[in-house]
Amino acid sequence: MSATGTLTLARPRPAFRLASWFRSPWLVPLPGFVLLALLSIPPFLYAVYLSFVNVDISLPNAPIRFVGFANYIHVLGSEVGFHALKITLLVSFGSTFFCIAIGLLIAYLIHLFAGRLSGFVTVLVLIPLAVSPVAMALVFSLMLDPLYGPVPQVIELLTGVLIAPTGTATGALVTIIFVQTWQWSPLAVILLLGGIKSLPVEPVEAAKIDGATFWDTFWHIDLPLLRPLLAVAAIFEFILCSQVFAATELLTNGGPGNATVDLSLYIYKIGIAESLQTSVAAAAGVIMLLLGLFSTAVWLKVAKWDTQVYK
Amino acid sequence: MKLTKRHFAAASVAAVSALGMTAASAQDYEGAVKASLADFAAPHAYDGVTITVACRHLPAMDFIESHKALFEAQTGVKISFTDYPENDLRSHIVADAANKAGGFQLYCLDNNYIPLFASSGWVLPLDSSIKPAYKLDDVFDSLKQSYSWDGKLYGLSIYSEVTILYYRKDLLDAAKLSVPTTIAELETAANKLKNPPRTFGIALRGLRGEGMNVYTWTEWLRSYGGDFLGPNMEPAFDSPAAIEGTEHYAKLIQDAGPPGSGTWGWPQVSSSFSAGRVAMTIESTAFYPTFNDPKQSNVTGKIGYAVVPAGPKGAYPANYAIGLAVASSVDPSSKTFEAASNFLQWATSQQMEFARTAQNIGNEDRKSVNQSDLLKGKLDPSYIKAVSDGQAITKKDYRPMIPQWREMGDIIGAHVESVFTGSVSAKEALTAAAAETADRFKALGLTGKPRQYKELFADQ
Repeated sequence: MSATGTLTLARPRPAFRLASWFRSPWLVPLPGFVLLALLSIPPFLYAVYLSFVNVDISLPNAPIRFVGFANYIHVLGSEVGFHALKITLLVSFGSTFFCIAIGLLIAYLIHLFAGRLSGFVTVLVLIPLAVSPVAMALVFSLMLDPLYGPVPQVIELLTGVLIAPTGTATGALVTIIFVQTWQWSPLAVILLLGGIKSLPVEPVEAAKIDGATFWDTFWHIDLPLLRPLLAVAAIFEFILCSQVFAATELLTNGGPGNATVDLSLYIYKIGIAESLQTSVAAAAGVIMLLLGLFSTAVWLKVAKWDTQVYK
Repeated sequence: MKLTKRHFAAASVAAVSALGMTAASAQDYEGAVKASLADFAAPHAYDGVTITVACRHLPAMDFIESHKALFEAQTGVKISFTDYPENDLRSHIVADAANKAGGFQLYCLDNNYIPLFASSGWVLPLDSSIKPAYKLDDVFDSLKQSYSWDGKLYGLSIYSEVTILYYRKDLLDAAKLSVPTTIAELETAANKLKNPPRTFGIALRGLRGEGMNVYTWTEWLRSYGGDFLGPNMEPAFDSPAAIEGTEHYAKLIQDAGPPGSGTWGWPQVSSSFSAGRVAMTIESTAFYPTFNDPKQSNVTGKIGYAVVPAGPKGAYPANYAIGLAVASSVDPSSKTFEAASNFLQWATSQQMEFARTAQNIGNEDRKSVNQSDLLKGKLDPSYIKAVSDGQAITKKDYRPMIPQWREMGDIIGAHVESVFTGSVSAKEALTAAAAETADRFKALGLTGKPRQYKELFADQ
C-alpha cells in the first residue's frame, strides 16, 4: 500500500514529458538524421563558401576575397562550362528517357512472355546493375575500339566501312547515352515489372469485354495506373544517369575535344586534373546540385506522382 | 611521356641482343659501382643521417632502390623510398614542398616541373656539390638544360626519352619508299602505305592532354615555325605558322590514320604499331622494348628507326625526363644535404648507368652509355643513332619551361583534339585556346610580365 502511494507521489512531471517525447516519431530516425547532417551539411556549406571566394591553388599566397557571383559567371559564361551544362542535361534526361522506355518494354515482355521463367529472366536482366560503372566504361571502350573491338569489326563485315563510334562528337554522345541506358535500365525493369504485376485485372477485363485492344488497355488503363511508379522510377533513373563521370572520363575522356565533358568531368578537370581553380569547381558543384534538385521537382510535377488515379 | 611501368619493361631488350651479357662482365659493372662508392662519400661520413625519397616505380628507380644498401653500408646513412602512384606523386610532393614539411629530402620530378619547383624555391641548386667523379659533361646536354633554371642545375635525371620515327622496313621496302626525312615525305609515305581496313599509314596521339597530344603535336607547331608565347606572355600559338602545322598534323591523322585515331592516346598508338596495324608512328623511345618484345609485338625485326622528320623550319623531337632533386627543407650547409646530393650523384653515376644497362634496364642519360659497345651489343644501331641524334637536336624549350605549362598545355590539348577529329578548324581551335589561355594568365597575374624563357623562333 505504502509502496503504491510513494510511487504515485514520486512520479514527477518532467519524467512523464520525457516518456511522451520518447514516443515521438522523430526519435527513431534522429541519430541517422544527425549523422547525415554532420557528414553532408558542413562540406556543402564549405562548398557554397568556396564558390563565392577566389581560392585558386595555383596561387597559394593570393589573399582570399569575396568575388560575388564571378565563379558562377565563369562557369556559365565560358564556352566549356556552358557546354558541360548542356551535355549534363542532354545525357541525364536523354538516358533517363531511354531507361524508362526500354525498362517498360522489357518489363512488359517479361510479364507477357516469360511465364514461369520470369524470375530467372529478371535475374539475368539485372546483371548490368551489378557491374561497376568503371569496369563497364572500360569494357565498352575495348568493344568499340576500331582496330580490335568486336563492334566496329562486325559493322565492317556487314558494310565494308570501318568506323570509330566515339571518334566524332555525335557518336561519342550517343555512345555515352547508350552506355548509361544499358547500365541503368534494369532498375526501371524491376520497379515497373513489380508495378505491372500488381495492376488490378478488373478494369482490363472490363475493357476487353468492350472490345479494347492491347494497345487501348495499355494506353488508357495500365499507363495511367503506372504513372506514380513511373515517376519514382524516373527520379531514381535520373539520379543514376546524371552521375555520368565514369563513362565520360574513361570512355571518351570528355572528347573529342570538349564535346562530351559533362559538369562532373568539368569539375574534375578544372578543380583537380588540369587546372587548380577550386572556387570555380565549387561553383560548378553548386550549380550541379541545384540542377539535380530542380530536375527532381520537374519529374515530380510532370508525373503527378502523388495523384491517386485508381480508387 | 607519362608512361606506366610496363612500358619501361626492360627485360625485353634482351630479345634483340645478339650477344647478350655474360655473367662475368655483368659482375664487372657491379664491381665498378662498388668501387665508385669511395669517389662520392667517405666511410661512415653520414652516420645517423636519414634520407627519404618521394618517388614512383620505374625500372630505373627500382634499380637504384635495389642498390641503396651499398651506399648505406659505405656511409652509414639510412635511405628509404616512399613510392606513390604516378598521379598522386605530384600532389604529395607539392604539399610537402609548399608547407616546408620536410617529410622528404629527395623528390622525383619530371623535367617540366623544374620551373615550378625551382622558381618557388622548393628545390636546392646542386652545382657546387657536383663532384668531378660524376662526369657531368657526359650527361646529354638536353637533360642538363631541362633540369636547369636561371642558370643553376636543380636535378639529375634517371630516365629520359625523345620521340623518334618508328617505321615498318618491310612495308616501306615493298612500296619502294625511302625513309621519310621531311614532313612532306612523311605525308606521302603515310598515304601510300595505307591499306584499309587492314593497315593504316600512321598513328599519332590525338587525345587531349599536355602529356598526350600536345607532346607530339608541338613537334608540328615547331617544325612550321610556331611559338607558344609572345614577349609579354601573350599567347602566340594561334599564329599562321601554328595553324599550318596543326592542319598538317590533323590531316595526317584524318587521311592516313586509323578511324577514330584523333582520340587516341599513347596506349592505342603504341598497341596499333606493335599489332602491325599501322606502318609508322612518331613516339617516345620508351616503346622500344615493347615493340621488340615478341610477346607484345607482331613486328619484331621489321622495325626501322630514324630521327623525327623535319618541317620547313627543321626537326624538333619531343623530350621528357624524370629525375631527382634535393628538397629545400634540407639545410644546404648540413650533412643531410651532402648525403642527399652525394647519394643522388652516385645513384645516377656513369657506373650505375652502365650496371643498369647491363641488366637491360634501358634509356640512356649519358653519351658514354649511348655510344658504348655494351649498348651496341643489345640494341639496333639505327635506334642508338636516332636517340643520340634526337638528344643532340631536341630543345630545352620545346615546350615552354614555365611553372604554368601544364595548365596551358591541357587547355591547348582539349582544343586541338577537336581539330584532329574534324569538329572545328585549326584556326578556330587555336584562337579559342589562345583566348582561354590569355584569360587564365590574366587571372594568374602573368599578363604583361616579360617572358622568362627563350622562344624558339621569336628570340632567334
